[in-house]
Amino acid sequence: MRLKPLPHPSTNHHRHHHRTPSSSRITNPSRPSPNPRSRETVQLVHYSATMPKEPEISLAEKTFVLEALKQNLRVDGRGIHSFREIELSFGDDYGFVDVRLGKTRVLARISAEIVKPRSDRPFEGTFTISTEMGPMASPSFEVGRPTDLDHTLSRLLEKSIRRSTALDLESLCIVTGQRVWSLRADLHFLSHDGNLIDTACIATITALAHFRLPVITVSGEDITIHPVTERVPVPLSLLHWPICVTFSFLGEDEDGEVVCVLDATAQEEALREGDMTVTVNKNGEVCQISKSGGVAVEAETLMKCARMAAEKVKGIDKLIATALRDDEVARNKGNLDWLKEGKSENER
Amino acid sequence: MVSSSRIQCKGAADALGYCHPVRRWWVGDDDDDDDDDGDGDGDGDDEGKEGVAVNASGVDKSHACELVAISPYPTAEATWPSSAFLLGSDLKLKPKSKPDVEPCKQTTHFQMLHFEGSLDWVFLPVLSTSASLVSTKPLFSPMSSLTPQVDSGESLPPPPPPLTFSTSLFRQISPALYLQRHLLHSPPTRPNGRSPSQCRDFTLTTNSLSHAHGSAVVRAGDTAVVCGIRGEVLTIAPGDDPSRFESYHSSPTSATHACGSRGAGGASWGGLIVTNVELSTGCSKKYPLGPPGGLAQTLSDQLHELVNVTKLVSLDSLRIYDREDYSDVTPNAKIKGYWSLYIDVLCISLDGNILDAAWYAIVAALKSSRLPLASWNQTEERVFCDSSLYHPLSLRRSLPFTTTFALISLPHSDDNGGGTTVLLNDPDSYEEDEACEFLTILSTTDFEIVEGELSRSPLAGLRTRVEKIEKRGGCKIGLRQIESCTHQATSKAARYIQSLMKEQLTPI
Amino acid sequence: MTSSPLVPEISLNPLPQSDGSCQYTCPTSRTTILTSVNGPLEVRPKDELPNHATIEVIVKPGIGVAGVRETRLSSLIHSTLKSLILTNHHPRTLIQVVAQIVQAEDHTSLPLLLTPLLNCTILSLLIAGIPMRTVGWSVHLAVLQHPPKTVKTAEGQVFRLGRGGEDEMETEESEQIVVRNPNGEILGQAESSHTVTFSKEGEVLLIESMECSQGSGGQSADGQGWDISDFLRLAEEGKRICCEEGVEIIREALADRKVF
Repeated sequence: MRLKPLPHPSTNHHRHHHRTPSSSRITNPSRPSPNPRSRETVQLVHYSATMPKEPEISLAEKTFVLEALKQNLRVDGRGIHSFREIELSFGDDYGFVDVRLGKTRVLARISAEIVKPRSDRPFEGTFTISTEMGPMASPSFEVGRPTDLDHTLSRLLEKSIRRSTALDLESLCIVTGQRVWSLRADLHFLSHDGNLIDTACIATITALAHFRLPVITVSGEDITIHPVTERVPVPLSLLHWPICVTFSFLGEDEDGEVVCVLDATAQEEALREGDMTVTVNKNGEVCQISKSGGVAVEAETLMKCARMAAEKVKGIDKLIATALRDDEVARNKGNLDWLKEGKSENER
Repeated sequence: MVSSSRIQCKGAADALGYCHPVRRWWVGDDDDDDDDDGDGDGDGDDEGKEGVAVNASGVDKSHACELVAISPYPTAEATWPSSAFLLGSDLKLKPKSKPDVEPCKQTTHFQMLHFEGSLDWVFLPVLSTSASLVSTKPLFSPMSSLTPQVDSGESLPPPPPPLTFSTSLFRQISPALYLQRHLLHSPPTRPNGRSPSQCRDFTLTTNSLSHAHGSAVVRAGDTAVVCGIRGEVLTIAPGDDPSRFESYHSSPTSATHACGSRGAGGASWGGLIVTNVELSTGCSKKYPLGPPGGLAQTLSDQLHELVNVTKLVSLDSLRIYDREDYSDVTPNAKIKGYWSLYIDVLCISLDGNILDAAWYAIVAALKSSRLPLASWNQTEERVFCDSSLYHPLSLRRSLPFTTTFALISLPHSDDNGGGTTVLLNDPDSYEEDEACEFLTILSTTDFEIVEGELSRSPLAGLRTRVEKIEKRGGCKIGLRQIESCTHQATSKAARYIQSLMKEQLTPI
Repeated sequence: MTSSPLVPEISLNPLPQSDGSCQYTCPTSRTTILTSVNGPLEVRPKDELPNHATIEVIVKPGIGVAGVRETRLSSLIHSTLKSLILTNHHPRTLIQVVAQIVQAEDHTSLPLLLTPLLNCTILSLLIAGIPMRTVGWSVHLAVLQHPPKTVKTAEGQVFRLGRGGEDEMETEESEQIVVRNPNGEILGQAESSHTVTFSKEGEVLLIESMECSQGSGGQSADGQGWDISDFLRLAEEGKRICCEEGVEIIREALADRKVF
């Protein structure tokens, strides 16, 4: 008989076993101090090789999905070019929205603070988007170890929303060179069943459209921030609503052409050979297109996809607008009692 | 009751009769297709069985002996092995009787059959991973008199000599049991020689750092902590609301700004006093070089909360008003800036209970810090500091101090009904590793100096005022024990204050 | 038995991808926490324990990135869970708990967040089927000098606790005014805040009590603090709330799931 020793148990078994997170976007903390001693923001911790992965998709599943696509069918019964139902629900505060796309669920929260502006841009406010995926969405995500999806997502949101100047940063200025609003969008990914990019974009735009800034009056040297009970807060100045639409390329249809599937589930994303994200607003203006690698697709197909995206975005835009309007009506009706008490000018 | 010899263990046994298996072993065959475990189901147990090998060489052969294996975990199903076998032989040991399931104890008795040959290793395959041989009861009985049962009528061989074992080796291989055995003595003693309610002596040195506005070095046993305080001037920009800076200081549970809750700054909501703890490289083997881990971050947050909960520093002494001298504050004096205090705690050496040492260092450093006089210059529209005039911070008169306890639970012996617990005041790192339950109390006692001696102030009565209690981990402490801990905290506070007086930082 | 304004809103298993999840909203402070539990999972070799499961707790704030406050919260939750979960049942595995602060009146206030975090975590562990030794419940109590002003409180939320004790000098001050699960405004008026967690058998799992009276510090803070016997009486009341009402809340929440 052969004896092999097992590894020794580690002696420091009383160490706390929680991981220190790192942010995918370390924003400059605005502190009441001249020295940005941000030792409180945490740094990366290095990990060893193995990390939990999603189980590989089986051959039977793959064959089933691709065969179904050949017959123009999708596993959950949708059309090739139809979105899952988008559900939007708002929280008690302004700027908080919960978006569900089937089983995919993303929360977005907007918060604002008054800070000193950047020295090279004294008349603009700042806006940062923070996307940090955690194990809640899927056990294959880890805190502190951004995956490719993390990088792609933050890059796409950056291009779609920040670079396309959807938010007018100059409107966030309070006193030029001294005080501006600094907005922050925090996205929390609660559940991952595919198409996180589109969901995240819809969540951010809806939250921005929902958010209200407190009214500020500047008199000489004094800045007065009026609480929400005194003056009705004002919405942000959004120039347009860019919305991402992601196409996944997988399989072949009956003509042997690659199929462009809209709003892929996690199963379809695992099987796809390429993808393209088009960001359009309701006027049909393309904000960004991104097709990084993947299977080669004819230019004609890509144009068709872009046109389709423009059509879809019109529908999504209307949906967001309706949801915002319904929420406003619900608030004004006094369904939220505490907000009703605050409005002093409602008694006309 | 048949008297039988017990197997002695070499290599892992200790002088007190406890056998702790040092290694777990796989037993496998070179030929992977064999059915190693012999249960005939060929369930792919190719890699062999996991179990514990106990060195039993030195036991006399041809004896019937008994092996007692004890699992401390109560489980519903029988998890203990149903067979043990000798390595190097095909002889299997069958259990003598069915394993009896007792609460907190499950024993299986094996009877070794009469055999020839040397008995080198006895292997116990562990069938269920919920069982463990890391038991707190002696696995084999101590080397008391051995009366082997002999089938034939031979004369009794002399009993083998008892094993001796160095205490340092015992402490290394079985730290938990080592500590428990010490505490089970009467009176209970700790391995470092202290009694459970005795805390370490400490030394305090203040103002040793030349570039800090205040500093303190505290050594308690092998735990050494340096605290430095630096003040920086923070000018309020025109239009800023001073209450934004003061809100956290005056109400330590909330830091709501006027325009929302957390703001874009993320973690930076702190207020005027910023605390940071760093465990320097080499302070302990457990915390190697790298970014601040969980302990450093937790400590930073705890100390920050303590500074603000106790309101040690008066907010007024941090304000910089719009006036030339510090004679009188007119009601309309405008606040032009603040002193922002950066408290940096560096742990040089960590041997347990860093919280108490760090807190004491912070209090002493704050007591000893002297800030230059800051005033608002109207023409330059800036705050100027006069480096020739220093003034101390205005602090609280009654100083609160923390006391930390670690709770060790002792296993119950056969006589008692249940286990007992022992609270260790000021644990060192060895005791901290063995405990999982901790209690920290922040309390204030009013003292006064009577004839050069410190005594309890009769005006405040005999009550100790508690300002913070934190108890985490475990489940064994009782509420009454918390009360007794506060009494121990008082005596420690007296020593702290006496030490402060020696450094001429008269607190009273 | 429990009056409805005091019972939190609990929604079980809202997340389809986790082994167990729970959304918990405190009715009075409107703090909403969403936790998900996954496990037993494969564990990294460096975190592996030979005889126990490794517990990992991650707390994610509602605004901003996680900092020292979240690390402290997860350390407190971890130490509480270690005494509740039977880790020897699944050695060399990982039990991962992620808590997301969805909504809070004040994202920086530890007392307001600790109780919902603990309760939500315990519920989601039960849903995930992680073997536990017993259940626990946490309650947040605030002691005030006067009844809360200008704040609406729910029925049964404010109660008085007799001080008793040796000196019976003034009967007006012989009672503490205690508010259960206060919101931020009440907490701002409070003298002290106590978060206590007890197991079903009455064992003390966690205590986080702190002095939180207002004031500008320095000499004005000289008289603050509470008496230990007052605290013990308060803790006994907290124990009663956790062991009776807390366990009842868990039972009702899991009633249709046939866990017990």
